[in-house]
Amino acid sequence: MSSMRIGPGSDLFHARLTGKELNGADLRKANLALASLKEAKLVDARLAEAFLFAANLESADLTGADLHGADLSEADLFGANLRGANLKEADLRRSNLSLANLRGANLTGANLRDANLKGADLTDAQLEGADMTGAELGDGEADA
Amino acid sequence: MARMSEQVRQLVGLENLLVKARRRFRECEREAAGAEHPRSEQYRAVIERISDQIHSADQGRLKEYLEYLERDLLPRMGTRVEETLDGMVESALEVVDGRHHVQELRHDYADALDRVRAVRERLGLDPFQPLDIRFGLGTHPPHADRRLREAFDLVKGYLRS
Repeated sequence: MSSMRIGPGSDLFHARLTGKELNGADLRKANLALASLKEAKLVDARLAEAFLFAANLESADLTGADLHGADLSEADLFGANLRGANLKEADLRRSNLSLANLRGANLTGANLRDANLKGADLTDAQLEGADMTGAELGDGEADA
Repeated sequence: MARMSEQVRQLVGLENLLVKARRRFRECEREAAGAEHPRSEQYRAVIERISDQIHSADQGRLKEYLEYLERDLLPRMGTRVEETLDGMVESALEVVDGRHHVQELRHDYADALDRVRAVRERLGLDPFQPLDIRFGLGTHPPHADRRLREAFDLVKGYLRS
């Protein structure tokens, strides 16, 4: 894995990137399906249209990341920090967003079908046009 | 509960991901309704790569995995197969609504049967035993049992019609 290329469109399928410092990385349209990104630092990372199916992003720091149009279906985002992230039109169906920080995140038009949002902080999150059919909401949902 | 080695746990994890990827692939196909879905190819590639990883596992690992399947997973298979059957029931309901062609339902049904038969064959069991015996192997929850029966009744009804 030492020679992996990290850049736009990279093939990082099932890559082990646990705890990696990837702040500001340009990973647009990258294939990160099944990747281990647990506790990775992805502050302001560019992940628009990235393929993150079933990726492990548990406790990852995605503050301000651009995930516009990304496929995060089945991804584990338990406790992830997505404060101010752009998740516009992202596919988050069946993802685990339990205890995630989504304060001020843009979830406009996102697909959140059957997602787990228990304990997620949705304060000031934009949810216009988001599909939340079957999503689990518990403590911490937006009180607007 | 059987004890699992880390390697076997990885294989089981991959199988679970395979089920999820197949489900997403089918969803893409349904969403595109005949047209090319932008994610279809990516999901097809994921399915192939996970399958390759499972198949490339060494014989020792596979043997341990199959033993685990037989001892622990197969008795609970009703729950696992239920996921596939959920898709079939969904398709059946779409047929009822006149939104889906019956051919796709036949395909889903055949796919589910093939997978169950393949597992049984690998375990040295008769792959063509009647379904009710095959799914009656263990103690899956009553809900799964009921759902299985409903699904098969529904699907068989359509296949006969």
